Amino acid sequence: MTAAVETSDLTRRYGHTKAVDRLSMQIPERSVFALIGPNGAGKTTTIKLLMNLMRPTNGNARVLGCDSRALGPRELQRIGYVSENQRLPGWMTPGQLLEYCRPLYPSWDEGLARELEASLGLTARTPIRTLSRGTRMKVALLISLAYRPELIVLDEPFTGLDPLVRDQLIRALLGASADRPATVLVSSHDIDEVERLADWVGFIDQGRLMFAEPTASLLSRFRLVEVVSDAAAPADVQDPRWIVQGMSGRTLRFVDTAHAETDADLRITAAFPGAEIRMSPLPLRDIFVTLAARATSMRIEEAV
Amino acid sequence: MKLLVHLVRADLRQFRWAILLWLVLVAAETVLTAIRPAFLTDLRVYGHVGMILNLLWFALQMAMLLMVPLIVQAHPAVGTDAFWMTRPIAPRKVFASKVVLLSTLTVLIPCIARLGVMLWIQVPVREALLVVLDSTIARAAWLALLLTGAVVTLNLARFALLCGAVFVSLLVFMTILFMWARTEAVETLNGRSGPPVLPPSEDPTQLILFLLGVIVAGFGLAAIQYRTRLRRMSVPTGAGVLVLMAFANSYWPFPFLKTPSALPAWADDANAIQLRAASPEIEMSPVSGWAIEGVPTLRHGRTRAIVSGLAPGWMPRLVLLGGSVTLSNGATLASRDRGYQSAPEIEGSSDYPSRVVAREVLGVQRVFLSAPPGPEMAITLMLPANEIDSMMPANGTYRGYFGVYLAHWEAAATLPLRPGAVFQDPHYKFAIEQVDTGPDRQIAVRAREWRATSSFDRKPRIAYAFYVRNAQHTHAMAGNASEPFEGMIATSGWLPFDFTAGGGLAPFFVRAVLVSFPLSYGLPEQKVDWDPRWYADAELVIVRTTETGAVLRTLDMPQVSLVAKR
Repeated sequence: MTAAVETSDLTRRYGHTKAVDRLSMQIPERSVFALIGPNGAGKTTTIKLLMNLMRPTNGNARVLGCDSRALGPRELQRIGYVSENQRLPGWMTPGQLLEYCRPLYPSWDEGLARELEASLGLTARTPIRTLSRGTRMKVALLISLAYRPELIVLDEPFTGLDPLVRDQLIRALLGASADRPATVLVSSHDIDEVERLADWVGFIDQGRLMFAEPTASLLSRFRLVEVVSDAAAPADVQDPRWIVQGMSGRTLRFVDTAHAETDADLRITAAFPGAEIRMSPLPLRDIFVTLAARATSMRIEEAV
Repeated sequence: MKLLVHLVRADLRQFRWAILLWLVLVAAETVLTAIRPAFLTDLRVYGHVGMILNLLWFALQMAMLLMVPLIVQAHPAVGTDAFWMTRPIAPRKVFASKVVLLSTLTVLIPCIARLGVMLWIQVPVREALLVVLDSTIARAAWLALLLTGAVVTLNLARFALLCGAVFVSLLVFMTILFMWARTEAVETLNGRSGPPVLPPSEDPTQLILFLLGVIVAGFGLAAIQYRTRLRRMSVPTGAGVLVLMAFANSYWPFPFLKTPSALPAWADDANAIQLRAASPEIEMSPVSGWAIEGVPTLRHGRTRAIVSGLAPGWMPRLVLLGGSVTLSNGATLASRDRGYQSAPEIEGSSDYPSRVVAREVLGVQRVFLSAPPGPEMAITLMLPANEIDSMMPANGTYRGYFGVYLAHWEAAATLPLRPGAVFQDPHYKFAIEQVDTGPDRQIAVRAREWRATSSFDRKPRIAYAFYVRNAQHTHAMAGNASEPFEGMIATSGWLPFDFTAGGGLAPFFVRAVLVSFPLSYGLPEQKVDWDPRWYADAELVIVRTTETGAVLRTLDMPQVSLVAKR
């Protein structure tokens, strides 16, 4: 597997706080990698470190084979970046911004730019500062895709957008990289959208990467288990691979995080003899919520 | 290069209205500066134009304070959210584009405009270019300071806060400096004083080097900030460069802009210029208005000093550099202060020295000018009252050290008193536009004048004075020259770069001047009798005064009496 992005012990500290803590990961080429995690987990900081917008305190990152700290114009011609925080030149109209960006990229594809403009419904001729947030994100995506970058970095692109605009953005993203696949790194809270896009998922919490794996593998690994029994209680859940969600009447619910293993069914049956056991796959959103909730409760326990 | 042009064009497009306004202001200021003297026939209009020029100067300062941060912060060098930071734009190109645009707008264009004005009014090319060089350095230093503030802040509000903080810091620094200087002065007055030496002649080398240091440090800081986007890197580097330049500046061994001595050869002869006292008496009197905490009450000693050995046309000025008196009881009291100036008596005449020299230069028997009736007493000593009062009256021996500053007066031109008469030096031009005789019968000459001097001239300071005399050379009258309208708000006259036509200290100015010749000069014997025939035959003499330098001389009074005088 060739990595488009590779980090090794990447760390960024603010005083005594570690925003990113020894983060090591690889983003395979041509994959769509979703970096998910709760608020303040370190997603945006990680992306800023990768984009050379910040300097790491320790460790290093390589982006398209280049040390992130040495990322220069040549590399940036191969990277598209869209962020909810980015300050676009508000005085320009979308057309003027396209004109401004065009000479910066030798690989600028005017045809693709027109296609994207049409598919995103970008007809505004007024300055960007007067546009809605959704339209601004469309503009940002357009000028980040029109030169067919090898790596597209999206930092919380869907936050605060209505479903229609989200859909337009995702379709534009997928459409633009259909004939020449690019690597996509997207951080988002919008797990439903990410699930449609991502073939890899990385979960980050408190600056630490908890795991990073293909979406398919992740979805097959997690199962919601419901045990209906008079005897079952949360205390019976001893396996560290199980995350208890709670008890409702006679039904105990927990998430098995290692269901891909061959003996997973046997382990569960053996733990609850005679009980009625129902197992169902978890959508990515529920996996995220489960992991985030566990991370929060563990922090509370540690603090106590 | 293409990218540089692309970035500059984007900035030009974004700030087109602000830039247009700036250019209009510069153009208006340039045109009004050039044509203002033409309004001197109507002094009311001339005054209004002067006020507009003052407002334009103020507007230009405000515009520069706004324009520099706005243009720089369109591509901020701090933060992590700027659009350009994730685009294939090299930081050095962004920096270069800002420098090119801002230098063009705030340095190049105003300097070219100023050069245009100078050439239009026929300032010699060499002098005009030197003035422009002066202005360019000063303007670039000012730009470097503003650029520094703009690159380390994210937006205009933070830039304004930084400016405020710098202003307050400067006030604190000035206060500390003032307190330090006061302590130094108090220490001097309490007995610590240095040897009597002549201060060095004028040398703008250090000022120019300091300004160059500001430019290097400011632009260097901005370049590093764009490259690293780390204030912890750029600010210490900029400050370090500035400190290093300041350090190098204080030990700079090559005073290449120092004004060479213009003293005549005869002045170097120790016997040529001599000082002596007219009487063996020093009058000790209280210093009025002198009350500093920690400093004893002082008495100053004055005597009539006479300077001899001067060639005609040379005006002396005495500056006390040090002195002491050894009393008959053996006690030696040294002067606690120095630097006091006086116009001493010139050997052979008890008149005020300006009148003596003016008579020599103008070749007349009598000169009317506003000055005391006789020479000034020279301050020879500054002593604490508690030391000297108990010993008064006292006898002893006095030795004083004085700088004798020599100004050469010469009649540079004699012009008929009528419109169209012109006098021009390389650095100065005076052209009569109108000659009036007022209802009070005083003559007033309205003229245009310009002056173009720079730090690079390496020439002694020159001033011009105006006299009227008639062909019979019976007497001459001094003129009071002033600009007919003085600005209502501060102009840039005190700044190293000029921006208005006003202000005598500016390296370049063009303005109208009103030279009036009153019939009374303050003293009863300085009243002029009105004689129309005399005026009909009058001519204007322009006297050029050149500050040539100073020689160190001693004033010895072997048997002196210190007498108290209230």
